[in-house]
Amino acid sequence: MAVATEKRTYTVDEFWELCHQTDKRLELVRGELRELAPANEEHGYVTGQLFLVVTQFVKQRQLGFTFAAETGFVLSEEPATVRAPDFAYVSRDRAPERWSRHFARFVPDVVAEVISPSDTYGEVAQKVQDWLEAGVRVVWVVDPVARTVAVHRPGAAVRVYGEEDTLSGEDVLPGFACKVSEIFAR
Amino acid sequence: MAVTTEKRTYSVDEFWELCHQTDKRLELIRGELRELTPTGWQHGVVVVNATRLLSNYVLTHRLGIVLGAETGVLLPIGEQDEGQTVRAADVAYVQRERLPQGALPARYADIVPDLVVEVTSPSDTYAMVAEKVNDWLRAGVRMVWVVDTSNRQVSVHRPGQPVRVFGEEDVLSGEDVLPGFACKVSELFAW
Repeated sequence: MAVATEKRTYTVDEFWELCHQTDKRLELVRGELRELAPANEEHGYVTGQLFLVVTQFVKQRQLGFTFAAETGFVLSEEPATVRAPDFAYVSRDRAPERWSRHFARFVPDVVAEVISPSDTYGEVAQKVQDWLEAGVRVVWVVDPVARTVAVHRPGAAVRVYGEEDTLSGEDVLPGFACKVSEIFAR
Repeated sequence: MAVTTEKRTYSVDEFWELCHQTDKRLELIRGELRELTPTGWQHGVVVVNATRLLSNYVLTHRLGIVLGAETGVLLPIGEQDEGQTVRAADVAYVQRERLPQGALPARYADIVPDLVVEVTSPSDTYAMVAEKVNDWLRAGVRMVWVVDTSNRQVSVHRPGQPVRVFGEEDVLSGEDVLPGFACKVSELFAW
């Protein structure tokens, strides 16, 4: 397994400690550390737009809760995987009673990853697969360069939506719809 | 669905006819046409390296056949009201047990390969590659290697397993799909 920053492996608890002794933004993938670079301007803007559009919808209907980038989610304890998506939504049913001050240990319904130009195919594919395996119902991969959203659902074909298409919440966020261009619009 | 070249949909037979009336390299994805552009040189070298390494091994051990780039495979993945899908892998290996008795199909065949290799081009977006890999796995391909020419990595996809990423110094294994096969990732990029 390549692209690790260090050879030793960590448990979730060791990783939690480490995250509080460093300024680095890290993820833990099957026990190994991955360093995350600060996002670029466009990435930050697009992530914000997506968060805003979905959050407005979710709040209005009191469907659940949305999480901003960098929230750590424990996908698996053994081997330990803690990932931080760019955006996450959890429905009321799947949300915990109260928020912890530790990594989240519930599985979101929706996760979005916004691609940076430095992201490799392998990194993004690994993330998407890890989220789906963990039980996430839909993963949106937002590509600001191609201006597309790729929709991944377990056992289904990947669907790719362009700027003129409408991104639907399907049965995960019933009633949600936004034009893909809205996510990229200034 | 974006990135299509035309709006009307085609059956596999119509697609076969069309492919013989045009110089374009096409794929049929859920009934819709996709145009493939000629690839760059890096892509071309990697495809030949992968084809040669796999083909040598498969022929020596008489395990099956290796299909060259552009061979059309009819994928059994259509939903009810969806069009059919004919994809062309960069390299594919089919084990002997899956092959028909007698002659090989002259047209596109609905024989699902055991191993598929897709080599990415600099213009490929994440979504384009992800869509291909997802189609191959849902069709029943047991292992897909995505060779990324921009960073010299190979992503290994297998159904129900985490994606593994191998760098140039790592060894790529045939695992239980092509038992005994191994090559260094760097061999794929050698010239």
